[in-house]
Amino acid sequence: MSSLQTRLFLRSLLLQAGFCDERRQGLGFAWAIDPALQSAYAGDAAGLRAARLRHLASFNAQPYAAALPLGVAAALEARAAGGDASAASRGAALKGSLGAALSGAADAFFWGSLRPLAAASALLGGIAAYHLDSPRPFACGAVVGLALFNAPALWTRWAGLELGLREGEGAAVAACSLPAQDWIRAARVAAIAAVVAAAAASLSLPRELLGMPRAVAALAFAAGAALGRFTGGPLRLVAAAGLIGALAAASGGLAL
Amino acid sequence: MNALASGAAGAGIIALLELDAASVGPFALSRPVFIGPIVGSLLGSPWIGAGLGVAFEALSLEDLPLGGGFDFSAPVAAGVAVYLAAGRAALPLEAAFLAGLAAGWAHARVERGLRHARCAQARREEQGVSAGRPSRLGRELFSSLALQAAGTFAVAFAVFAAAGPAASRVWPALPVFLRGGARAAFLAAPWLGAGSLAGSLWRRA
Repeated sequence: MSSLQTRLFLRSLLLQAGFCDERRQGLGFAWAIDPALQSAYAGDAAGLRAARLRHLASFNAQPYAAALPLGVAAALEARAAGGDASAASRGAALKGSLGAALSGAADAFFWGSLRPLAAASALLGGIAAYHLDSPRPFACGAVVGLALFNAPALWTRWAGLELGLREGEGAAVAACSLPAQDWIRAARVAAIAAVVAAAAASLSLPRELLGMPRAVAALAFAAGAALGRFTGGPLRLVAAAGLIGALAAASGGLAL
Repeated sequence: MNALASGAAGAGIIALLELDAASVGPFALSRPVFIGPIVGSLLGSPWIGAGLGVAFEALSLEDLPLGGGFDFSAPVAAGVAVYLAAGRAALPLEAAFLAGLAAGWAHARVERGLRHARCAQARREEQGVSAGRPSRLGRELFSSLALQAAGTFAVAFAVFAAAGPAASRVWPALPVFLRGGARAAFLAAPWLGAGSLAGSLWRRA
């Protein structure tokens, strides 16, 4: 584990801190790669200035997938500083295309699948801890959910950075050969199972915590599954539930 | 601790946790399912935090943060709602849920403004480096973090200081059908959200 890799990794955690409409993560990327530029261009102020300007350009990638382009760009900047005249422009072009290419799969995996899986697992962990009379069911659930999400996310960042720094341009080929679609499909199936299991486990909670009969809760879940695609998400369904509730309350059918 | 100091402390905690939504990490700590119980536990009511957190989590999980942005800030919505329900205002859960939705919507607009304003930082850094001045990247980045936290603080504190006390007075006087509708929406939200999410995942799998 090199100290440069550690510094780039830690700085990459602030990749989105300067997110703006015009350059997206450009400011964060420039800050993350700066230790590599300072190391590569030590004693070459003009080279360092030009490299810093190159990396202030627009950059946008899924934050966990951005580590690979960061490592590749750092490796190519080191080669550029060593005399490879075209390495700098290759690095600048590759970081943008790699970021875009990896983000589709990373969005689907991390945001679209792992995030629901982690949330549902947190709920399942909390409910299990509650039934086991744990004094801290929420902490148990949080540990499960956060570990499930952060272990792959942090590993992706660390391994991507390491691969990029070690292989340079070759890292793009290695990344493209990963079975990303298989991982996404597996994570989605696991997420569906976890969401359904969490909903079923929630029905085991006392009625006063649910606030409604279990049959009504199960019916609402089924309605969400069946109708969500037609309403573009759950918010309109919630508004419809509010309308039904208002009518029921007005007719005296809903006690407050 | 008086009401304003308590509101400021609550808004400060929410502002710090919200940084995890995009700016720092993200480590998922700011997701409603975690932020709800955290804020609730700090106020001595973890179950209230969990209930509201799960509701906002289920409603927001289908929104992917593409481009690093949201149309609705779920962490702020959950944090504000839990504070209003479990804190001094002691709003009914359904009223806190609606106030949280409004705060999440308002925060997303504030964040859009901050993102637009940040364009000047990259240009300023570019001009400085071109002119041979020392890099101020770190300072620019940390000032944008501070502004993000300040924006979140302002939204949350405004709700705690103004909307919360007003809502706790007005809510009991509202017609039964309005309160009933809000209660039905809040109670159904986690189930409708989770069902919609499961259906969406199923179609894509």
